[in-house]
Amino acid sequence: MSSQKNEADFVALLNENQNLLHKICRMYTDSKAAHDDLFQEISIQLWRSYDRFEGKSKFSTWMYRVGLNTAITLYRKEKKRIDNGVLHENTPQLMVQEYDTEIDEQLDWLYKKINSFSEIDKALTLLYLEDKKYDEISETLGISSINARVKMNRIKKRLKEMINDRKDG
Amino acid sequence: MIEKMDEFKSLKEKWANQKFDKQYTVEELNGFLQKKSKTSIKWIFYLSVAEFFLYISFPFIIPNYYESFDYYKSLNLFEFSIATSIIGYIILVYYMLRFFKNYKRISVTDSVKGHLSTILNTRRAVNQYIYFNLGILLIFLIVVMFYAFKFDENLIALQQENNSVIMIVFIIGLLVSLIIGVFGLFYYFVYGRFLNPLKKNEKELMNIDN
Repeated sequence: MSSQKNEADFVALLNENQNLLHKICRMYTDSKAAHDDLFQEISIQLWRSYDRFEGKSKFSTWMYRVGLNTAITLYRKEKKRIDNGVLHENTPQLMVQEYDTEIDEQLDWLYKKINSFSEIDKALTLLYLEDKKYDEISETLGISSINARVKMNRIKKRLKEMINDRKDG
Repeated sequence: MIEKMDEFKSLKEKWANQKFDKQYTVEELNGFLQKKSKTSIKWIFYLSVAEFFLYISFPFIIPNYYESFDYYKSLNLFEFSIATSIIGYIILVYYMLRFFKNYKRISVTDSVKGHLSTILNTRRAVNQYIYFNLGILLIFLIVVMFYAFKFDENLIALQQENNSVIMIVFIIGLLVSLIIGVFGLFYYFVYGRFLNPLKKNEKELMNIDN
């Protein structure tokens, strides 16, 4: 009975934090199908480690750790699959279901840029954009908090340069 | 300049307030929890266990495995062959224990670096085991060959008949490198695709602290 109650609590928690998971999925995947896949996998991993979280560590650290670990280590992109089986040889862009430009145009541009980052830089950028404290970044990634600060400054610089290039270009 | 600063600020604000159109319903989220995980960790585990058991089962699947000890006896290598077998099993037990211990430590709630390291260490135990085994096998083969040319009457006769020692050594060498090559390809395809990105990520995180 208690596990049933747990499950309801957990789903409520998951529901509240959907946006964070969507951000991770959008950063680490390049199609809708892969996004859904990763979201599902992170949900499973969060649920499996739920009893280890309860009480033990800070909620957001647990969520970022599991989310990033799943995206970086557990989840390997499958070969691009064609959803409806129809393959247009002359239009390769149709092979992947592209993201709709559902969000803001500027954010859309940002995600596209981030997509080309290394997996670790994606994690650093996410934590920077989420305004995480150095201590929490250090705990999430397993790096020292001094170096977390150094890295955050670099990410900030890199993002600013990207914006400048975009305006000048 | 001020304009650019503003754009950076607004980008961060937009990031903080972004809403995704796609929001799963509670029913959908519930459904996710019933689904099976697709991670590759389990496969790494099964394959590793299969590798260990393959080595354990060698005496049973190789025909005439026990009779080969009689041959080693005729070469005065009985003690040597028994000793290498025992060493082989001690190494097997040691690495299996290390492997299981590391595997149990893998936790998705670990820090990203910790998580990467435990996965890679788990796998490293199996790799080291295989290197050790191949090393022992190679030494064993060389010693047996050396003694065979000294004590095996058939080989001695062959040697006197037509100077074919080099040929025999060459063929055995070719066979051994072929086996190692097949092993190598197997590991490259089975593990490389999964483990190389992990190694790259681990290194990237290590470099941050160096």
